[in-house]
Amino acid sequence: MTDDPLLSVRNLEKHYPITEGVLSRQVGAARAVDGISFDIAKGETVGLVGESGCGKSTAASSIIRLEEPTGGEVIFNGDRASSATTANDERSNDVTEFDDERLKAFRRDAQMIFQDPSSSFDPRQTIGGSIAEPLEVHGMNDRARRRAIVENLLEDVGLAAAEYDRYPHEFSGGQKQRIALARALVLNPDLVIADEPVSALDVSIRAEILSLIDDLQDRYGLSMLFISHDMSVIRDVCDRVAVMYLGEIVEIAPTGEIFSNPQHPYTEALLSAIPTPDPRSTREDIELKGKVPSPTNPPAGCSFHTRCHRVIQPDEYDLEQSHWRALLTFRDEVAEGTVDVEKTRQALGADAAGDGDDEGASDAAVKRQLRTNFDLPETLSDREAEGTLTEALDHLLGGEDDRAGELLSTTFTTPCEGTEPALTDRGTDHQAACFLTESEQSFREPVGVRTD
Amino acid sequence: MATDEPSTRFDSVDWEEIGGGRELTTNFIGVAVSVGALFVLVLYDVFVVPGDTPTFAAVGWGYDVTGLDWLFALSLVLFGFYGVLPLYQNARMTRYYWREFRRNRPAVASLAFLTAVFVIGLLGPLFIPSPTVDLFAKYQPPVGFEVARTYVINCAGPVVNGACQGTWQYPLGTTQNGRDIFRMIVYGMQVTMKLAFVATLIVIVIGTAVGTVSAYMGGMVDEVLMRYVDIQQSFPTLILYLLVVYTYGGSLLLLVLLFGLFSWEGTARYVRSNALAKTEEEYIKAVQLSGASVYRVIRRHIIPNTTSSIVTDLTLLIPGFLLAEAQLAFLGLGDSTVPSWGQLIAAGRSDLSFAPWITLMPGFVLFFTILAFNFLGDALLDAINPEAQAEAES
Repeated sequence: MTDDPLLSVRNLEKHYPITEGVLSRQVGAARAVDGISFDIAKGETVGLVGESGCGKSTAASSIIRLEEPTGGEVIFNGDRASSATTANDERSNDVTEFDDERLKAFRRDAQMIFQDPSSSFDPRQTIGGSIAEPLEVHGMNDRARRRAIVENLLEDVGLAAAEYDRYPHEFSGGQKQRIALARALVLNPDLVIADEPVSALDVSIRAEILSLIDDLQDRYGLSMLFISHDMSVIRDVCDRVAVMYLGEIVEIAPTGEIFSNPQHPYTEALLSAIPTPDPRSTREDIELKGKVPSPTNPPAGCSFHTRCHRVIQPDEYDLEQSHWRALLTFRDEVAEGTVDVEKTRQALGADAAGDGDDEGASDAAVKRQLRTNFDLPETLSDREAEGTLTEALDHLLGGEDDRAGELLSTTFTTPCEGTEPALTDRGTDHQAACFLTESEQSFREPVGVRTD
Repeated sequence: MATDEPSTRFDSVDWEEIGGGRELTTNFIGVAVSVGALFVLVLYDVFVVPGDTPTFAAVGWGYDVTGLDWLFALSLVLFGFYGVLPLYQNARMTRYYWREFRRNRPAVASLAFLTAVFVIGLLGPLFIPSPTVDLFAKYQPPVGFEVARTYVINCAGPVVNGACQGTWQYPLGTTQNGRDIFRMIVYGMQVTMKLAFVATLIVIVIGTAVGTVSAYMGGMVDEVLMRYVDIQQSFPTLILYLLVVYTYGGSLLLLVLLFGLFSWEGTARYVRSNALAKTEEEYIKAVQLSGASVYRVIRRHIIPNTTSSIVTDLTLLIPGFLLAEAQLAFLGLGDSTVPSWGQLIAAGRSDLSFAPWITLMPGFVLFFTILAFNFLGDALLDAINPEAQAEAES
């Protein structure tokens, strides 16, 4: 035993090439996982959380080498791997460099549970056969012994040994997740990666499976990487949490710390999505506006700035935060050319037509409507900003979309889009990547987060 | 472990002492032993038995086993160990399939009919003497038919109003040289079985291998294999066959080999498209994670899960073979030494006006065989589909 973490992920990258044409020329890359680093200590559960498409599952399959990562290192210090190193010091413990033989040995050390219980078992194999298969692959040729091991294991996960000969379609989703756990455990691994293991289950069954996972983890000293998009599940299971956004880790901290003192606005937004049992709770939900940027073309600077509700204002303005957010969203959409003045006018005209007014809506009405569409106030509190916005709206209505876009882009800028924030320390074992909290150490006022 | 008894707890398995190597299944041992025995017999036939003596003359069986027979025996062995034995080994699954299958009445009848064709075709020629030329018994009508007395020389049955009546001596009548049509049909069944089994064996092996490997490996492997399939699919097999017949003379073995080697492209394509969907399933990832080899993933998971598409494709392919053989025989391009149904149909075409049974009897049998295969394929597709059942239950 050493004090090294069981698993160290260093700058792991998985970029999918985007090719074009007959010769498959590479024209770009989808940065599904773009340089993530974290450690998992022995016996620890680390949560990896983020919305769909942020690269959590890709990270998992790259770590366990279901897919080949395109960069970075995954250092694995399992007991067997360590003994292999002492035997031959030249071989590093980098999973990404393992040859076939070591990879096969690594398969005994790290296993995975998948999200969808209905597709994670071969429908033509008995579940006993499915669980026993890893044993068979690793050379246990004694059929009776395999069966005995699997039957014991089935009882460990709360099923009857007699279920060995049944087929997957004869089990419920919760039972199948128990069987999946059994299959993941059968080679006695040190690390189990659970990719959204309960998100396909009913809430009532979810708790059972989570407590079973907890139980087994204690009993067999497993380390876990627990992937989820659900913060409430993460709170129950994990020791530490890494929050992922668009292929990067934006915040990583012990679970208690991240729930009481989130240092990244995205974490804050995720936390606000946890349902509260208290109907009198006055917490307001943070709704992230704007669409999720594509990993093929991530935004410059902080990748979250396009949706961040706390996006930083330059010193010259002192607008209400929500107005500043709305202004930036408006700016981006105008620059992209997705604001359609004529459509807005027609929509207004159609409404007005019911009142017997055939004329198209007036310019003033259109401007008002555009402001409403983008949650902008009647007038901005800052006179200078208001002046620019009015001018931009005039350009827009005058059909000069480009000028409007240029004007808005040059006037309204945020420090967030300039440079990319690095992960910096926010206390013991707590790191986050955000300029706002870097300077102020904490949010000015907690928005919608219970700190109990 | 202190005890000698190996531990049955997963967390106390000593992996260092586990040897590895491949576990031999009953099926594999069975196939290996049978194929080995077959191989020895082939060597015996080729090197020990003189050219024109029957293979088993030593035990008093006067039949000279041909190359096609050896292939037929091989396909029967594989069918037995990889087709029938697994049904017995997975009795619960089999019973379930059977329950599903039984709902389809025409398919059950078809299965019975095909089983009869199989058994009679396989064993019939051992018990029923081969049809011999007997010119005095030509144009005997089948039971319930009659023919003008002028066409027959010796009428086996009674003669009523100058017409010869059929008798049970020749239940399906005789041909223009007095061969018993019933016996010819029985002997034809064996030809049909050989054709179906051997050509199918070739198609199933190549088609499944190419289809699943292509789907699972993807990338360059997929590209190369599928482009080859494209090329072969545009190859005119009929012209090749005509060329071969012209050069070497028609032979059933050549026909079967050509059928097998040049008609697996459709199967490969079809299997690939079905296997593609399976390779994306999470259970394939789980198996990969256990460290299983590519061969194991394909052999143990992808192939079993594409069985329904393979079986359905075959039930459509076999009728194609049978019809093609009959057509070639009818055109006079078949193997004239083989008593196939197609030959018999062709033999009767000049006597259709007064002795239609010569063509009709084998024609009906061929028709019903093909119909039975089609019904069977339809029902099998419905039966071998546990996912469909799981969906229905949930």
